[in-house]
Amino acid sequence: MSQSCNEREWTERWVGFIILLCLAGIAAGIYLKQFSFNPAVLVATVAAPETAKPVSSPSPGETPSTLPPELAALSAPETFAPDDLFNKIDGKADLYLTAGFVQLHCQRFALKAANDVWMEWFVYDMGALPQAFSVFSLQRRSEAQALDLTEFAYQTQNALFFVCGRYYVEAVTAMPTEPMMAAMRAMARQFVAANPPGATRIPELKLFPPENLEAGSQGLQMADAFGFDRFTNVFTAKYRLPDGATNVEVLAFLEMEKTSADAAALRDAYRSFLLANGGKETESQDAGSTGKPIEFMGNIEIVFSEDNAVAGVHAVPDAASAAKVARLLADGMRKGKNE
Amino acid sequence: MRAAKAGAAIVAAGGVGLWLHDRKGPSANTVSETVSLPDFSLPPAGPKMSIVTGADRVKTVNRALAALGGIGRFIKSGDRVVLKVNAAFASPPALSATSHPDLVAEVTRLCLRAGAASVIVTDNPINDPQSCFSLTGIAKAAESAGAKIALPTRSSFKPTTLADATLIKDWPLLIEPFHGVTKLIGLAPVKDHNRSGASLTMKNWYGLLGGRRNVFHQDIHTIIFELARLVRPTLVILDGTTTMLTNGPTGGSLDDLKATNTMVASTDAVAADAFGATLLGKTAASLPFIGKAAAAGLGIADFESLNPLRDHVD
Repeated sequence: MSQSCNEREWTERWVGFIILLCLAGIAAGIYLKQFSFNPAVLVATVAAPETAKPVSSPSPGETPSTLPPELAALSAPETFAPDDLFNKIDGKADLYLTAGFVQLHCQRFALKAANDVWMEWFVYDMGALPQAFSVFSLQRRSEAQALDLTEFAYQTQNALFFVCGRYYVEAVTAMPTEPMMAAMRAMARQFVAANPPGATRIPELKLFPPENLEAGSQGLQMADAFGFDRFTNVFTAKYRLPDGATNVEVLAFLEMEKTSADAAALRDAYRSFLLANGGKETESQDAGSTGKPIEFMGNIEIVFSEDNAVAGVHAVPDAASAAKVARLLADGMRKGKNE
Repeated sequence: MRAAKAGAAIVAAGGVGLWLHDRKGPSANTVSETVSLPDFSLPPAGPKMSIVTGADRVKTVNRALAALGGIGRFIKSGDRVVLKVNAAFASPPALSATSHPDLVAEVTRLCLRAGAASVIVTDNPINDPQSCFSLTGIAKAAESAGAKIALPTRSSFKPTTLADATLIKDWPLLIEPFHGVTKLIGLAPVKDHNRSGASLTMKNWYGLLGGRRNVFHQDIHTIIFELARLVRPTLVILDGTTTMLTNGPTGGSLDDLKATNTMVASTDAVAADAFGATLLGKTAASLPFIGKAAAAGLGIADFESLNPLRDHVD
């Protein structure tokens, strides 16, 4: 028994000694290494060029499993995560990152019949439909033509842009021949079929009344909307009022809060922000329940809360148009809430 | 007894840790070898800026340089020239996200005709430089005109520190292509930019940075200003033949572009950028990096005060 205890003690002592020896070795290594530590060189090594990560097996459904027959892959698929998205799109990365970007899959494809006619296919996984809609809406081209593909889709003379559930997809070619554009549309339809967007909708968009609403003008800003850092989920829509020859454009907005108290607090905070930065309250007989308009940098701002929503109009050139759209919006929100 | 030994071991380990602890941490300047770019600018003499309108960038750049006294004013026999292009994206020239290959080729030819011993075309696109230089058409155009392409590799970078800088401290700089170089010309397209508002000639130097340079996007105007301090070119050429008005810096749709048919050559990058702002429908005052650079004496934001030479070619 005593011999067994002694043996155990020796074993423990040797194990302890070996562990201490290992720790001493690690400490010595760290001690020596710190003399050659250089954060800049370390950064350069980590982020030196050629950092694109070809993906041997892209996530199922994100890159079409079968291509339209007229297309062939021109490059290996690539994937980018939030920490290296800038490698691919540089200064535009922030737009996606602030909207909740998860991953980008992209790949170039060429026409089999004309290898020099190629396009690039980008699938941005934004995590959820509103985020995908946000980046879609913030980049919408003014010359867009509606595309019968998903609820949010358009094409320009050389590219397709659409939202499919959590994905925002771009197909871009510099050589928009009819065969290439047709192949891109076919690929887009195939993507939608493989990734059905489902029945999920963005309910906030229904709160904008349809009267005088400019088709396809709805947007979502997920950071610092109108320069106010507490506006982090602001839906916008443009209204065009055919008043006389002026044809005024009015930007209406709304953001949903958890409670009506939160909405009122946010409304007051935005008013304070405007007033603190040079805004002045104006009198308006038309204002009604939407509160006193604020003249800010030569334009009119109206902000009000309705139940748990903060809403209003932003940077409107004339007070009458601002008040009219604010009233329309307030009425529409009440109606939408009751439906 | 064992508890005492364990306690002694803990105390000893703690003592060693305390002895090894470096309260100051690593210094920012622990690097023995830092580099900086030479000042490539020429002494002020002659006109500083020309603005030429026309749709053919080969003709407009020739006219713009002729207005400044010809390429011979800037490039002498035996000069080794770097053309810093924008090859940031693997994007075809039609989308105007990068320097146009026709312009790169023509400026290469002009430099060689003026007696340059060599012309090197470089940029650090980060993502797959070979694809970027290839798909933009820059590599083929530059090489066919007689230039060499310097693709960045890991060994191309050395840390640099700009005196009194907030951001450029011990940061990797694309330096290898500049060995033995005597002249530097920046070739930048006119583009909208999601963070800075505009991508023009001073923003073009961003492509000389290595590392995870995206961190600078949080303070984009300061980094552009510091780059303007760091890089003193011989000449900048701002290509506003096609301007990316929206969705920059990548664009993607031809609808993002507008034919503005303008070429600018200038020894004053601040003035060139101030003019470039107008092609984007903006003002110099709306782009803080221009104001910072002008306030630091790096150039003139009021470009009209330089009496730019204006011309048009059909």
